[in-house]
Amino acid sequence: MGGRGRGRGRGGENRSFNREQLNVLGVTGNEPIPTQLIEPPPLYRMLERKPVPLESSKELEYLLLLKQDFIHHMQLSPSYLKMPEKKGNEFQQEIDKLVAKISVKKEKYHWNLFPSELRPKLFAKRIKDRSAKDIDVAEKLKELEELEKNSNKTDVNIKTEAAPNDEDDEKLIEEDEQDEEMDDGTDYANNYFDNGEDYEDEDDNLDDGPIY
Amino acid sequence: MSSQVGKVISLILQERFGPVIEKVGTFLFQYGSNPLLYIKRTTDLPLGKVKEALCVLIKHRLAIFKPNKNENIANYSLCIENILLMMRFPKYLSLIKKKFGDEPEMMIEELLQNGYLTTSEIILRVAEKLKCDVNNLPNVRDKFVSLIIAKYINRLPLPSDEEKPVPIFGTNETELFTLPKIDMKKLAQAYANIIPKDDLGDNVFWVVNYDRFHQDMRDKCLVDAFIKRFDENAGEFLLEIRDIVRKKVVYPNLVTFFDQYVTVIEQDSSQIIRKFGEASGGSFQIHLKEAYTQLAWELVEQVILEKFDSKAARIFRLVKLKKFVEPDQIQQLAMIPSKEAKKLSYLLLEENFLKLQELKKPQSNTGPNKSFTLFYIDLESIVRNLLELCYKTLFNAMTRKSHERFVNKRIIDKKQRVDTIAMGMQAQGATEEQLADIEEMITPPEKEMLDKIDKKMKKLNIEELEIDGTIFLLQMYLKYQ
Repeated sequence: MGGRGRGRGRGGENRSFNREQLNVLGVTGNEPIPTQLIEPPPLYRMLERKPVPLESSKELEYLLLLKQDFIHHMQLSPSYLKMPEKKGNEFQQEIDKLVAKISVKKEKYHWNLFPSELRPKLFAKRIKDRSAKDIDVAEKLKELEELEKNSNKTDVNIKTEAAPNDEDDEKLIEEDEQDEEMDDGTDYANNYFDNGEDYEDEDDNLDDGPIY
Repeated sequence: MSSQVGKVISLILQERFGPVIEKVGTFLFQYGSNPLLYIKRTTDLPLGKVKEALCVLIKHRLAIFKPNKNENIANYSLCIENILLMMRFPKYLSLIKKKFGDEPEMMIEELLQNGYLTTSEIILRVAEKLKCDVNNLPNVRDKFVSLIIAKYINRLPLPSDEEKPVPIFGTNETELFTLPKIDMKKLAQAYANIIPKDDLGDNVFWVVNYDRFHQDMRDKCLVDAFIKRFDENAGEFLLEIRDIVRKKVVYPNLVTFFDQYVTVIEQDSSQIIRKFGEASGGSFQIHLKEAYTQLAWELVEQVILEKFDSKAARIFRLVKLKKFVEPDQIQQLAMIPSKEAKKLSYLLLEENFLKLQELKKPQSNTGPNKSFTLFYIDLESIVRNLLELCYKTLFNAMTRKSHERFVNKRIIDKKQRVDTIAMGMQAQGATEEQLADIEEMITPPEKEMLDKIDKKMKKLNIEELEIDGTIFLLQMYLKYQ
C-alpha cells in the first residue's frame, strides 16, 4: 500500500500511448499476433515485383559491342597484370603454354611523367652502369674528390645526370627483359627486413647504392 | 565515398586490369594516399608487380601521386571518379562517332585504351588501322586538330621541374587546348618506316577531356526529355536556342510554327525555358538546374512506382504537391483506405523516400500534449540514396557476371581454346573442311549452353550501361544543386 504514491501515473495512465494515439500510429487491436518463427529466413528476399523489361535498341547493341570490345582489348593488353605464378604450378594443357608465351610484351612508359621510384630496378642499374663507364679517369678523380667533401650530393648528381638519357636506355632494357622476369621471381637480393625506424629513407634501399 | 562504391571499383578494375591492379586499387581506396612501400607491405605482392600496377594506374589516370615530405618518394592515391567513368566509355565513343565520324572515334578509342598518347602516336596508329595512304595523313591530322578545337581532348600538363625525383605537374589552363606543331614531313617518313617512330621527339601528350563529353550528354538528355514531352520539333527547338543556329531545311515545321512553340514551351509547367527579357523580340534562357531537378523528380517517382506500385507513387506525389502533410490528410486526399495508406506511407518512410517532422505544442500543464506529425520530402537525400542504390545494383550485376563466368569457366575456356586454334589454322591457310572439323569440337549441347551464357552476359552488360545512364542523371542533379 505504501508504494502507491511513489509512481506518478496511476492505473491506465502508466502506458506510454493511449488508445487514440495508438490508432493514429496504425496499431489496432484486432490484428492477429504473428506466430513464432520456426524456420530461418530465406537467403534472399522474395522478389515482390518483376523488374522492368530491358529495351533493346540498335544504339544499345552498338554500345554493348563497344563495351565488350574495350574490355576484351584491355584484357589482352600489357596493362592486364596477372598474379605472379606460384612455383610448381605446371601448365595443365599444352595450349596454356602457348598462350603464356604470347603475352610477354611489356608496356612502354614515358618515365619523366612518373616518380623515379617506379622505374624498374634494372633500369636504374643501367643508368648507373652507363654513367660509370662514360666518365673518364680525370673526371672520376675529380668526382671522388667532391665525394669526400660531401658524400650526399654526388648521389643525387649521378641520378639526375642520367635522367635525360632515358630514351636511349629503354632499348637496353628491352634486351634484358628476360633477366628482369627472373628478378621478379626471386628476390633473395632484396633486404626486406625493416625495423620501422627508417621509413623516410626507405626509398634509397630500393636501388643499390651508386658505384663510386 | 561509400563502401558500396569501393566494391564496384574493385570489380571494374578486376574486369579490365586483372587481379594485381585490383588488389592495389582496393588498398588505395581503403587507406587513401600511401607511399609505395606501404602498398607493397599491405598487399603482399612482389615489389615489381606493385610498381607495374601503379604505372598502369597512373598511365590511365586512375591514380595520381604527390611528393611526400621526403621528396624522393611519392604518395599515391586513387582517382575514384575516373574509375567509375570507365563504365561510360562506350557512350563517349558512340557520341563521337555520331558527331565526327569514324576516324575521330578511333582516336578517342586509342586514347581511352592507352590513357595518354603523343600527337604522332595518335595520328600514326589511326592511319595504320585505316591502312590509309601516306598522302592521306594530312586528312587524319585535320580530324585530330578538330578534336582539339572542339575541346574533346586536352594536353596532359607536363612536369614543371624535370630534376625532381617525383615530378610535379603544372596546371596551366590556358595551354590545355593549344594546337601542337605537327611536322608532317617527319610524320610521313615515320609512317613509311624510313625513320623510327621513337625519333619524332614528340613530348606533347593528349588525354580525353571527360567534361566535354558530359556537356554533350547533358544536352542530349534534355533534348530527349523535350522530345518525349512535346515532339521532335520541340527537341530541336532546344538545340536551336543553345546553338542559335537555324536549320530551316531540316525542320520546316519549326520555322512555320515557331511562335506557337515558343509560347507552348514557355507556358509549360516544367519552366525549363523562361522568357528572359523583351529586348530584340524576346530572349529566352534554359534553366539547367530547374531542368535537372524536374528530371530527378521524375526519376524518383518512377523508382517508387516500380518498387512499391502506383498507390505509393500517388502518396509520394501528394506529399510532393503539399510539401508538408499529416498522415490523416494522406488517406483523405489520396483516396486510399486508411490502413493501406498508413502501411504505404510508413514503408516509404522506412525506405527513406519520405521524412517525418514532428511538431510539438508548448507544454501545457493540463491534459495530454498534442503533437503533429508531418510527412515531407527531401529530394537531395533521396537522390543520394538512389545513387547508392545504383552502385549496389551495379555491384550485384557485376558480381553475377563474374559468378556466371566462374561457374561456366570450363566451357568458356574450351570455347576460347577452340577459337584460338581456329584462328591459328586460318592464319596458316587451312581449308574450310579443317575449320569445320575444329568447330565441331564443341558439341551441340555445349553450343546451346554457350548461347545461354551469352544471352545472360548480354543482359547484365546492358543493365550496367542503363544503370550508368541513371547515375549520370543523378550526378548532374547533384552538380547543379
